[in-house]
Amino acid sequence: MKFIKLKLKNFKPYYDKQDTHQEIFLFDEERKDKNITLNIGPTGHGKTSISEAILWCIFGDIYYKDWENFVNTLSVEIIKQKKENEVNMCAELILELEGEHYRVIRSGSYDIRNGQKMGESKLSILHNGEPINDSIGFIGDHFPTVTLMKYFVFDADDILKKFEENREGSIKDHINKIVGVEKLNEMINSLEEVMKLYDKDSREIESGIHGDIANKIKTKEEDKAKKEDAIKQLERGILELISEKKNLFKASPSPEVIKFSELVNKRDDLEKMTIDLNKRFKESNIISDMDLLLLYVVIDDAIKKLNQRPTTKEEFNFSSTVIKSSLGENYSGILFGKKEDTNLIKKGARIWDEDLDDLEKLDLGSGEGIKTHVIETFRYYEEQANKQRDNFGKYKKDFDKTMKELMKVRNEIRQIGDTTKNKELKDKYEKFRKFEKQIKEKVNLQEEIKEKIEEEIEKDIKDLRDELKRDEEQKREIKQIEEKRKETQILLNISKKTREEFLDDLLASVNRTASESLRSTVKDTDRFHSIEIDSNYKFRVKQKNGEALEERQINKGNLQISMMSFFFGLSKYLRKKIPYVIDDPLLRLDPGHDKRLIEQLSKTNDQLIFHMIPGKEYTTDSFNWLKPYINIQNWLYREKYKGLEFISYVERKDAEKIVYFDIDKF
Amino acid sequence: MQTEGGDKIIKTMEKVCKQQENGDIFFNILKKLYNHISKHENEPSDSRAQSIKDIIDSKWREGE
Repeated sequence: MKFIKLKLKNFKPYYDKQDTHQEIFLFDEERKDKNITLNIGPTGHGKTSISEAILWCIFGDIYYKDWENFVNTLSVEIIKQKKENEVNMCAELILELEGEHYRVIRSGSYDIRNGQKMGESKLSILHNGEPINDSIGFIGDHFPTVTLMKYFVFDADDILKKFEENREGSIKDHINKIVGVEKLNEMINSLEEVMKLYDKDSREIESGIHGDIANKIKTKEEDKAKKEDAIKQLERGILELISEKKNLFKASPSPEVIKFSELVNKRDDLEKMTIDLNKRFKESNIISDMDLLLLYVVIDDAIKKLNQRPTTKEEFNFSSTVIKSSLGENYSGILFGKKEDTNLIKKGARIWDEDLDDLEKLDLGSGEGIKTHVIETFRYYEEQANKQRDNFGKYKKDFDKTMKELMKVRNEIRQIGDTTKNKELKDKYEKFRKFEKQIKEKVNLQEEIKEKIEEEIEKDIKDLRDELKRDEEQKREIKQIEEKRKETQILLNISKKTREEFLDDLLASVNRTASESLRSTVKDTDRFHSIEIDSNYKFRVKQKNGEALEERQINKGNLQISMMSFFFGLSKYLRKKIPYVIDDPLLRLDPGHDKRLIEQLSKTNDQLIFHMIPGKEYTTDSFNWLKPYINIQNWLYREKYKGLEFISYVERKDAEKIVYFDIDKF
Repeated sequence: MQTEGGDKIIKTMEKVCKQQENGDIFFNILKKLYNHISKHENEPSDSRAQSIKDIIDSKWREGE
């Protein structure tokens, strides 16, 4: 591959006054036998911008996503002055590939109002004036990745500086990157991460497993079996009872038997009720208080009569006898009030014991306090008597009703016939009813157990089975993860072993390439015979006899040559032959070594685009030994445009002739 | 674009796999993983581990 021409518009310092592209010739196909392009210019004249333009043109946003920083500042000012908003930036690389020309065009727009790029950059590739369909695929097929591209477009001064600062680290970094070990390392790291992810997955699933569900199901099933046995036992009991029932009555008991039994039961109940009523009557205070009740009634009547008409001596005596006998043990007398009220005096009452004499002497119309007390006492007993009278009435009513009913039932029994046969039938019927009751109880119990089995135990078992199923699925999942983890472990082991074996082969190969490069560059090939990089990335220069040179035995120049040999040796691991674009290729090299390195590189026929500093790398001497290889000679200049900004421009010079310059004029 | 070194790694990998039981299967997976990493060089490491796991899982499902 050759880079033929680069055309830039508004890219970094490249602003074109005529609003066309700045053209930089990179390869003259008329001078195919010469492979070096020189871009000469002091620092700040746009040499590195050429490298950046090539990379942006090929890789766009992947190379540099903030490419709005590449937009030429002068073009922004000019657009502002024109009162427009958009600046277009473009880089076009014309390249030759297997005899065919391709135009790789990268463009992007910049909005000066917000200082932002307007979307991603756009790529189009033209072949014979026609755009090719898969421009991104074209780049992928013919160029390495952006990372690996730095082995083709680089700053030699920077590379050597890093070598000198950290030799082993730098070597390791380059080898790993360029030969793909870094990717293998990344793969190993990722596989180790994957193992951790599988562990995490396992732990998460494990935390959801309940465990010991099988035993719980077993217990529930045993419980269910016991209950089902109980149902069967009940069933047997029911059948036995039905059979016994049938022994009593082949069909159902006759209505007569049923009626007789009911009447007998009713009679028995009623008899029991009368006994109960009697018992309750006796237990109550009705009997003992009856005397009081009767007395009250008698006295009340007597008073009423006395008030209505004159009393004879017989009447009075009779009444006195009655009262006296009625007062009995509890009362000692009666107190008659003026207003037809009567009061019983309780025997032993305080009024009587202490105030009797006074009372006799009293005018019954006065002595209200004592009288009130006596009246109150009487009222209390009167009240009690009324209550008892009510109770008695109620008992009496109940008793009468029950007795009446009992008489009726007894009569009915007598009518049916209170015979032995009927009594036997009644007993059988009672047994029959007892069996029926037992059957009903057993059936109810059966239903209850069945319900418990269906609504509780079976539901629990189903839930537990679902849980068990989930557990088993999760266990299977864990097992699968374990197997995947094992496989990942194998993948990891293979990757590590691959790295080990590959590095041995690789280092042998790199050492061989670098050694060849070294021998073709240095003068004393017996002394600087080979380069050896060991598995710890230790860099050694060996003599022809196999002995390694001490650090102090290698001068800086030879060391730089050795390292550059190693560096160029590495790029052979990349498949495609693409041009090298190198900043400051000779800046750090000692005179003599630079010449031999260039001679050696030229033999590969790879296109070499060198950005060189006049006076330091480009001198009369270096031009003389470079001359046979120079394909194109460009000179980079800059000028202040309309007093605003510096802009760069490139002039193609005669490749055969040295350009004399005054360094102070730059 | 694959590198010559990358090709050599794949070859070494194949050689190592051959010493392993079911080496062909492991080699196919590893090749796929290596190519994935080569194509996604800017992928962050955590999402890369996840995509590697996805590839292994998908291989597993294919084998089921």
